[in-house]
Amino acid sequence: MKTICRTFHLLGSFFAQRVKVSMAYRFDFFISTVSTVAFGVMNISLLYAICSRIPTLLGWSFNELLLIYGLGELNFGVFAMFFTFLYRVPSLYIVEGKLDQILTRPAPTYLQLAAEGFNFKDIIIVIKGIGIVIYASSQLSLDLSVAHLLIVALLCLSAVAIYSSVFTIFASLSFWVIDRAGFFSPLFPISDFSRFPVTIYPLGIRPFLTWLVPFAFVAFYPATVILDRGEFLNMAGLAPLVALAFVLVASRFWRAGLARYESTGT
Amino acid sequence: MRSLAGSLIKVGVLETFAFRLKPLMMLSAYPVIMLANYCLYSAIFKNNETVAGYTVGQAITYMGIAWLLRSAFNTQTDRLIGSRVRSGDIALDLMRPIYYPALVFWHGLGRSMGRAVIISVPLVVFSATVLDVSPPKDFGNWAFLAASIAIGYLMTFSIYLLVGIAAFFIEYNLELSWTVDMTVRLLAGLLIPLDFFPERIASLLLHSPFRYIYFLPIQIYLGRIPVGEIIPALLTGILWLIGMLTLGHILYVIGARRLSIQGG
Repeated sequence: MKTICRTFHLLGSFFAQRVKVSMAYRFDFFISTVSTVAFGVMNISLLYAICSRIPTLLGWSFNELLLIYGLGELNFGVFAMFFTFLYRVPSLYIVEGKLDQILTRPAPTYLQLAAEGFNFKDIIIVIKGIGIVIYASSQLSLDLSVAHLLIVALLCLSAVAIYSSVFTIFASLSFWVIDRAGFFSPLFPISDFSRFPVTIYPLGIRPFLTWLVPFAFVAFYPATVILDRGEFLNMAGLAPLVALAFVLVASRFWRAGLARYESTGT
Repeated sequence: MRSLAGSLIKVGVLETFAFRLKPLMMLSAYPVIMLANYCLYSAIFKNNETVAGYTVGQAITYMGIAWLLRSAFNTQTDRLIGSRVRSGDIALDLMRPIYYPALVFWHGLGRSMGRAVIISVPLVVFSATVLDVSPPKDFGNWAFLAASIAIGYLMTFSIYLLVGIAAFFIEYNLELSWTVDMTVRLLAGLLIPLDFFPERIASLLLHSPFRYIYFLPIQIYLGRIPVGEIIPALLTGILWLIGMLTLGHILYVIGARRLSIQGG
């Protein structure tokens, strides 16, 4: 219990320091904001263009699609703030060996990397996501109770857990196949396309997005709770379970990979 | 001069093959994107015969060819220039008695050829079999098609050059390159055909230089442009190119001077 308290205290001071550091690089922050906005404009224009031509996309209106997108961005943003250190695992930490330094310290490795890699800049993505969700909800005149919001919050937490565990698994692969590039490339398009209703994917592909790389739970299923689309609520309820399962798998992968790294020597 | 260009091309090609995992990873993203787009467009056309004047077959072919072109066009030479400025190696490049933008061009061409082999060829097979992408509507137009692809490629190159040269002036940032890439993707008709946009926006987009990168070549491929309109379009494209490359040259000269004063 005492070590947990101490760990959180340490993490807290790490994060606070990182926030101060990132505020200092204002040009960086500015470029980040511009790129996030550009991204948003691009994706929303796409949805707009599609929806201006057809009445609904398989029964989903523009604002509903917008809501799914916004929720996805929100969850990705939270993931990005805390877990983008994973992108650097194959290059900086493994190939360039910075991991060795980390291993000499007495705190858990994963947490140390997370603390070092805390990315406050990406709060912009979170803000963008929240903004889009609020706008879309207002356009749809939704009737949300507190219970609704609590469930959505839980699903968002699950979404972040799913994002982080999937990316951790892929980062861990670099412990076995050592290469600067890492294995993340296919994950980004999968994440982008998971912002569409999972119903557009034929029955052959849907299980892949639901159980193998469960990004269907990072945007779509949580959104169906807000949108009150009853037919999907059963699946949406599975989100925390899927998240938990993947967190367990990811932690096994990571530990196994780390053990391998340590045993092969430096 | 010819042998110099040739050896630069060779370097570019070999570079692509040098890393084991990276080309495979690059390759892996494309089928995902193309498959997802296939599903998306199938859904768009589910209850509609034609949308924005396209049939489902045309839309899917559009998307397939667009990403195919991108797989060869996407040399990311702007990042290359940026990283060399950052590391200081740019000094070596500038000291050589070669016109630097030409060096970048030939190197990039080599990279494109490497990418074409590793990525585009498998993608062609994938598109034709799994995705049902159709062959060109009219083989008689092949000369126009080749010309429009060449212009599209050169336009991509000039954008990379301009962004890369920006690194001579400001603190180079990967996100800058990324942002430009994202914006161009939308404006060039990669993500969605430009005429899907509502009237007013579409008419703006259809006059930007970016349409030459993906939109125009694909329209020619699909046979959606009457031959009489192709030639003026291509000529306008060439004018745009001349303008952009001239701008690139001017910025390069100013930038190189600036760097040599600063760097020493």
